[in-house]
Amino acid sequence: MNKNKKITVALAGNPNCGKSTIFNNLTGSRQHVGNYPGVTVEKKEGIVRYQDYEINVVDLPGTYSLSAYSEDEIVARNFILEDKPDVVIHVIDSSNLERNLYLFTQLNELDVPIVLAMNMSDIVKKKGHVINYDELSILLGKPIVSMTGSENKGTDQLLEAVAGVCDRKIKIEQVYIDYGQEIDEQLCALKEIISKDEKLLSRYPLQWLSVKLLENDFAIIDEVKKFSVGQEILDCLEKGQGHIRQHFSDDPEVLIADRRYGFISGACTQAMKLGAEERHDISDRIDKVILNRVLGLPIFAVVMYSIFKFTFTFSEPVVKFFETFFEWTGTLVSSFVPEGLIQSFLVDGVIGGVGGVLGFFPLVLFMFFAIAFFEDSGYMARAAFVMDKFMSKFGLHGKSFLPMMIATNGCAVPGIMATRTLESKRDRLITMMVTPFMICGAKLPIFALFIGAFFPVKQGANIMFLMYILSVAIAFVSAWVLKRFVFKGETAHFVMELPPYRVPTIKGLLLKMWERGWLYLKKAGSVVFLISIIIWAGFTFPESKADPNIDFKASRTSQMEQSFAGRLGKFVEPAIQPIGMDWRSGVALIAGVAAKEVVVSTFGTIYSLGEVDVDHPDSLKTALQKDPAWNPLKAISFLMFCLIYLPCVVAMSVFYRESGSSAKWTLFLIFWTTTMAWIFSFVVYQVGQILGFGGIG
Amino acid sequence: MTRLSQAKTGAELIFISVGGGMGIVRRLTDMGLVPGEKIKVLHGSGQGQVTVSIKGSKIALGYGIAQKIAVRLA
Repeated sequence: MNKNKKITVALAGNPNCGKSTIFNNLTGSRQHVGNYPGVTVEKKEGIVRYQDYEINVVDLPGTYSLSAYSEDEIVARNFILEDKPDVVIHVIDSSNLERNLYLFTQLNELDVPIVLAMNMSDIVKKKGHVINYDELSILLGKPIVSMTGSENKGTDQLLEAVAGVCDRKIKIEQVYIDYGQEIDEQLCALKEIISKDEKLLSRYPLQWLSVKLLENDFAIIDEVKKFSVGQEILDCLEKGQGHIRQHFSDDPEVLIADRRYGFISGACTQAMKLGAEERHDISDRIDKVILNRVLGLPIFAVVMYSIFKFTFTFSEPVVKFFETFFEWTGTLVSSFVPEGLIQSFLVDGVIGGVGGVLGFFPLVLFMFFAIAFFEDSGYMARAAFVMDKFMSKFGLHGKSFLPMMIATNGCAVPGIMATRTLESKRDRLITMMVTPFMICGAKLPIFALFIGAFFPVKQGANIMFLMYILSVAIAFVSAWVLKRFVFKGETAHFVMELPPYRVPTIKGLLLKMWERGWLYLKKAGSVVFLISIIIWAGFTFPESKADPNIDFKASRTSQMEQSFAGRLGKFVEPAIQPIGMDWRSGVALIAGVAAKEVVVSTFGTIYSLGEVDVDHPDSLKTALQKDPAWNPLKAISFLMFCLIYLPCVVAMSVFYRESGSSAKWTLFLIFWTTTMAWIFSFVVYQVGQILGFGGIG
Repeated sequence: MTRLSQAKTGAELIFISVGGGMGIVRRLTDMGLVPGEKIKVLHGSGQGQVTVSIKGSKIALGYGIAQKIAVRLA
């Protein structure tokens, strides 16, 4: 035998069947997340070595079926058809055998070697069911491995079965479903025509193709039209479907589904003994409370609050540590590198920029950990359901709340990615449009700075809370407007399986946290780093000539005003004057497009460059307080603008990709957010002034 | 024949049909709803949203879709 035979194994299964746990058990942390070509469906891959096999495990999207009505299902079936994996592992929630086997009836017809991974065998035992695996294996013609993914039991046996199938030591039999005489006749007629075309015959498994055609699968019908026998097939199909409708007075797809469930039910009756009549299990009892009409929303609020509380309480020391670390690095570099352009570049440009992003990384990680906990425990599916009625009034879907949640204190980038769980394109676009309004981890420092500078501590917390409420309100109002005037049509129906409550595994939580966290971290590595350097250069060049006639302070100020950044700020000044801002805010806002936390560091640059005594710079907060150009009303107006205006570069680029590379919607997003921001700030500032909150200046 | 949206907690029903686009009909079929299938209402107040048990799994249905599902008493 030659060393290291490379094979590909695909993992298929229903949502909530424990597929990702098994994927994690198989591949450990050697995972790679990418995209299936041309679509925004996540593709997870990982390598595992077993005996002399190097197995590339591909995690297919979780699906209930292989029809053509969702992107996930098309991706899953195309992968099996086109990439022809050596083995497909079908992960099954054994405690819910009948429903899970429905996918099997379709996978089976794809003529690929299948190994059944019967997961959650511990729950089967608890429920008192007894499954005769040998019997079931004969009935379905496939090897079966009993597993408990949550305890990492059965992983080796699963690999053994996969290797056995590849070595041809384990036999696989093809057991086709009997669809009954009437349907079979139509299938035979179709097969006869298909067989005439070699190309078509070699492209699709015969049984699968004919069943899909009869089932009215539009994607397959479109494909078949391209072949020479296309027209003949369409004619035959029309006749056959008409015949079946007449005979059974029902659509062929309903009958075929019925036959599949019939086959499954037969196999289950033979191979499975059900335990005593199911009592109300713990999940049902918990749901009685959580889904309660009166209690549902308050419980939701408590969960959200606890996520925030957890995040801030536990991340604080780590965030402090990071901040100190970057300050220390800055001081260290200053002491080694002589004062001048290079020192300024390293300390202000590089360390300042990257530190700004990394500083909030722990907060974001804690946040994602808490969210992952409620996701994996099964609560988030309930939360989506509880919120659906309310959210659908605003043109959002129940599932829209999770992306918004991830963006709040977290990051809009993984938030926008999380909109993938929304099936309708319209719902997805609306959710993507409003997700950036949330106060993300990067906007937080802006709020902390300005609220800290212009309001007493006691009021500060209230104002911060108000800002959170405001961000949600703006998102909802915005969604409503979009639904009413831009994306007309109905919100997709809410149909969602509620998985049983489970205790999440630490490994699963950490992997999920890291996956989303990584998206955030990538910013520091690429865009933000680059942009902080550009901003630093923008303030530093062109250098103004030293004029002996003016003092130090004035020369600093004139340097600021003359720099590229200063000129840009002056250019936009007329547009932002009506909302109470001058050219310096303009510069900060433009720089903030790189990443929102850059707004703070830009003010840092502006004030420390403009200050007289560079050796004892006032803290930024005091500098802002002392500056007569600011007052509380202007601060609020500025914060409003920061809250709403266009998302950062990374979020925009993810939006572009996730909207299907739509320049139109991306431009719309930019226009929409910035216009909203200006209008809100304008109203706040002007009304505030009329009411006399502005004071002088 | 009634609508699933009007069902109350504990009711045992038989699925008849669902009105709506091909996509949603197919989705419900894939989740186990075929004509004649038993539906147990786990939670319903008679005002729209319901959670039901179909083939042993728990499924949440929003107001809009529950209204389109025709059922009869088992």
